Amino acid sequence: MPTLVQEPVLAEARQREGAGSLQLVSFRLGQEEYGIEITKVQEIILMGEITRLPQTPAYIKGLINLRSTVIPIMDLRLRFGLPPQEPTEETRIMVVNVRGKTIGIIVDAVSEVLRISKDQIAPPPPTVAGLGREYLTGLVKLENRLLILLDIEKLFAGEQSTTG
Amino acid sequence: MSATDQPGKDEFYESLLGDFLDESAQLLDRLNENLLKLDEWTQVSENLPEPRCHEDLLNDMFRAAHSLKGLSAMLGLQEINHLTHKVENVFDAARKGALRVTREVVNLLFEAVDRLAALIEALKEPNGEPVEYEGVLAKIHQVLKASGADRAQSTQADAERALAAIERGLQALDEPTHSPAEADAALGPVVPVGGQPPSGFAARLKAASPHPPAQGSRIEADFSKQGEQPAGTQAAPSGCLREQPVAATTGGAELSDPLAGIDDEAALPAKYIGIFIDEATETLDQLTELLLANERVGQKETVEQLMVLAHKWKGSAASVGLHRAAKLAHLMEDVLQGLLAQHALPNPWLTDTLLRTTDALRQFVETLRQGQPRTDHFGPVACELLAVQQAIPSQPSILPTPPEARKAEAQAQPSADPVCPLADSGTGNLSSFSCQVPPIVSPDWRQKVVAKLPEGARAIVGEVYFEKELPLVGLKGRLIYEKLCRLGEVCQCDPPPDRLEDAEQLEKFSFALLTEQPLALVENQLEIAGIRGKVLEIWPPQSSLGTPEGSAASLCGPASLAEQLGSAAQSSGSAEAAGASSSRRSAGVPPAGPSAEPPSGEATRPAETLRVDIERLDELMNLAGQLVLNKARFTRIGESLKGLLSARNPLQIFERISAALEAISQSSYREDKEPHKELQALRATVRRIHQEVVELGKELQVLPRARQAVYEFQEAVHQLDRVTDGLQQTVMQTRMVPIGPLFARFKRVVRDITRLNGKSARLVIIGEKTELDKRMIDELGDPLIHLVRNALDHGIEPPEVRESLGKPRQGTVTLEAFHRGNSIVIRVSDDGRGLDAEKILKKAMEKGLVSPADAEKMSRQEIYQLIWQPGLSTAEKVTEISGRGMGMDIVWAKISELNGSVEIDSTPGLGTTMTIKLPLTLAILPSLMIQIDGETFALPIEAVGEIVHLKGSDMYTIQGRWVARVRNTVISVVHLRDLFRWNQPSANQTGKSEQTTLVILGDTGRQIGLAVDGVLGEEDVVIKSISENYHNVPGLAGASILGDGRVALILDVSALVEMASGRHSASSC
Repeated sequence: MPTLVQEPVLAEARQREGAGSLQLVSFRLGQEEYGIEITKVQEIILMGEITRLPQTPAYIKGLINLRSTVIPIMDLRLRFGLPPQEPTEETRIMVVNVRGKTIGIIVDAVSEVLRISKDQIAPPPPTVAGLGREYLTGLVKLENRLLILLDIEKLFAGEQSTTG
Repeated sequence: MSATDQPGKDEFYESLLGDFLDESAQLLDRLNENLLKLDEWTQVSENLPEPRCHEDLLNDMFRAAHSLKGLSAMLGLQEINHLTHKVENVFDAARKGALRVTREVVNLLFEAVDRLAALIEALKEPNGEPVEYEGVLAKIHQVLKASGADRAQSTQADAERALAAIERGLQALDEPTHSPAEADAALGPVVPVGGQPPSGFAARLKAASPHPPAQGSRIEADFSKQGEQPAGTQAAPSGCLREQPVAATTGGAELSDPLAGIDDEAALPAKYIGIFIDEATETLDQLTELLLANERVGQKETVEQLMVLAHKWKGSAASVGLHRAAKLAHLMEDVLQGLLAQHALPNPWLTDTLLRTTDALRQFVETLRQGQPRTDHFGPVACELLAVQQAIPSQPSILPTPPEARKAEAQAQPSADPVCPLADSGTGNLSSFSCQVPPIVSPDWRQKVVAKLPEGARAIVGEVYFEKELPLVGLKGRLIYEKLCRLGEVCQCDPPPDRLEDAEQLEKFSFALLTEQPLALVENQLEIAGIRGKVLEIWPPQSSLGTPEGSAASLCGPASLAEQLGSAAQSSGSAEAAGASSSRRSAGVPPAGPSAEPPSGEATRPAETLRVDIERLDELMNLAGQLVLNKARFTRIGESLKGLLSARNPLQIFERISAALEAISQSSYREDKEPHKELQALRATVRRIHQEVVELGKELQVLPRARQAVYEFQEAVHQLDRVTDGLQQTVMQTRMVPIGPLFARFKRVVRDITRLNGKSARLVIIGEKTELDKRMIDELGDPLIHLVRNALDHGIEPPEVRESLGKPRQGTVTLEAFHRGNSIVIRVSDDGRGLDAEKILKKAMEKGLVSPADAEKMSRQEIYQLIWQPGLSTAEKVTEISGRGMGMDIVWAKISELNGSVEIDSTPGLGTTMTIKLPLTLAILPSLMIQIDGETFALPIEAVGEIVHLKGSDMYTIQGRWVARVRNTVISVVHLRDLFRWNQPSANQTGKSEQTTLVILGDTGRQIGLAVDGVLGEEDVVIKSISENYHNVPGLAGASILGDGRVALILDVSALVEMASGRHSASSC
């Protein structure tokens, strides 16, 4: 089961980051701010023409050509059940590497790269409900805002076996 | 696979393993192929009284098994090593005649080879299931035991005992207390075996020197001197040796190793070991290469080179203190020297021994490299070498014995050497060589015979030499003649048969036999007491494999020392045949006739090759594909630039404007003498404008140059076009391999299946040189097996049935491959009963695949197409081979996956032909680019039947399903939006056109018409996998990148047809 290897893998990544610190890329989705470990992010690109793909869930927007490699694009808004939104000036595709696959995710805006210490991470409150619940590893408390730490591996774990 | 089988999984090991996998596959193929031949042979020879198998075949298999054994030993793959060793033993026993090759033996060998293949396959997946092979091992052991072939082992024990005694002598020699002279005196003729001059061991003292060449050259000089000595004067060592075994029996257990008592230096100078390893490996490589080359083209020079190399090895090993290895190399050197002194060439078994020696040394170097040198495997090899050495007729001493001493020895033992017929100089009328059987048929006889042979006939030309003053020699001759008559037609012989019986003196009997029997069989039949030897040649000569192939020479002599030593070379049949006289393959004699001249000039240089990781080729292919895309973009840019510049000539317009402006400004000068202020201002403006325009004109001068540049740009793009096409094609070609090996595998399949189902069939292979993408070949094995199985099981009738139908008893399955345009066509056909349309239809109706109403209207071709449906098998009962109804849909799926198509053609009573059409490569797909709902798609051109334009009036609905009448067939019309579930509307939806274009897809009987907005044309697209970063999407074969960088989807036609029929059946329910 892929979920079993999740924690050790992450723990290892955290350790590699140095004693208790972690580098994140933060991005905005609707009103919420999320963070992904920087090690998972390959690059951030502008929106371009996406070729739609049949027989796939609505959140799979289609395929793009990333320097001669064809990669799928996932709309994170739709994935988390947020209302769809037309791309804006700020919309970006974050290209992430998960389990040897390269996938692009559409986010509303990419904010910044920041370093946090591990004790800033709190477990997600059990009261948080909704679609995205299982993909959260924790909450990062910053001075005046809250960052949701996204478990990108888990997010795509389901994609591997889904067909049609 | 146990963990112990993989010592240090480092990069070096990995690369070795890669080589091993590659090489072993070839060796296994060769074994399988030869086993098939052997299998045929066993069937033919079943009724012969004492058949001896074709020796070359067995030798070849022995060598294949041997190579495999050596390779596996090198990698420390013990399981494979064990099994190959056993298999090798079987071949060895068989080729020496100790084991009769029956069908059971062949079956066992097949099983063993299968196990081997499984073991090797398991290497690719280290975590896979362990492969069981002990069963086969035990069976082989039993077979060997039952046949008494393990006699070789007991004789080897004898040899070991004998050799141990020699070894003790050597140790004495090695004692520093003895002076060299003493040692000589004590051991004298024994020395050739361990013939190490004391100075050789003194070399140990020079051990610090890593440069043995100086030493080497000295010995080289020695050896050349030795070589010059006439063979007849060589001292005979055997008299002394014969006494040794008796003494040896009292020896202790440690005597089993001839190298016992020789120890390597305890502290090896690490600094030099590295140098030694490199040098030793290189030398071993050269040795092996030469040995293998020598096997093909026996040459004296090669033996000399071999000796130099063995000597060099010995020197290097001794110089770093590795005395055991040095000793083994020394033994090898001795054997070679013996050969050279004898003007002889290594024969196959000797070569094998030498190869085994190099393997043992190689293994040693490998263990040394790993820091744990092991020499415990040297013992058996050393024994073998010593035995072989004794088998060489005359053995010169390597020891620089003073000539007088030698003479004295020779006198002391008047009939010194029983082995060597050469020493028998008593018969005055014969030259020293004449009592030996010449290696080839005398040229006179050959010429005489060959001139009269019928055109194209295969004959065995031979001469049998009788022993001197043999009583009733004429009768013997007659017996031989009778025997030959039973094997074929004796077309010529000398003396003629009617004069044979009266002959009282007969040296030889020459004959020419028209026969198809193998050489070995004829040779076997001529094993009669009283003959001194015989030479046989196949005419016309066989070109393959060179010297020992076409001719077999054997000579007989009195009981040889070799026998006592249990030489591996001994032929078993001879012992029974001729009491005291034994027969064995001659070690080869100097080339006498012109025909024996080595074909040195004709030796073709093998094509230089390089093994490349297929991943790299994929990457290269990918890059070439991108280049093609970029080139397409350049072409487009060029076109648009040309378009921009092709407007009406702006320079002419400019000229006109300029002229007009000038006219205005000048005319106003002349006519108005007192111009108004405004007019003056206007004139000034016009003048300024004129100046500006002139400036602009200068700028515009660039235009023609720009046009020229665009023209040049397009030229360059054309050039690029050619280069990229060339590049792409070359890369594609590097991935191309002939289909032959894949086809050849089916020989075994046919054999196995016909065995099981009692049918008789042969496999005909056509076009084995046709080249396909390597990946494609890998993928084709499965579908082809299903097709061949089906042909054999369902197509070909049982022999009795065939006979009653007036067909030959043996059925024929043909595998054919050829290129047609941009595709590869592979055909599997049989001459069996053909497909039974009624049966298929009945079955399909039972399964509910076809409604009774539809069934009536179906054409024969449409019915045939039903066999691709899963679960449909026409076989009445499920057999071991096929009939579970799983095969054909797998074939269909696989071929579709490869973007190919399959056609069925069958004639009842005459057979079935399956034609597979495939694109040339998996990486590039010739496609038809189409537009649907504003999006571009690629359709594999292979699947496109035709393109038709229809007016609205040509389309109808039947029960709500759109159909179109194309000529006289009704084809269902499919809209992609109905088949695919899109999760969003198309981004660039276009308006509906009045005309509908249909692309007809699929095969007869399952055709659909895909409605498209437009056809953009043909294009070779580079296939990009969607599953690489996502997962497979039903209905799509992949994606491709268009010239403008956008992604286009490649439609999976067979899936579309499937989806369309599924949709229809669903909607009709």
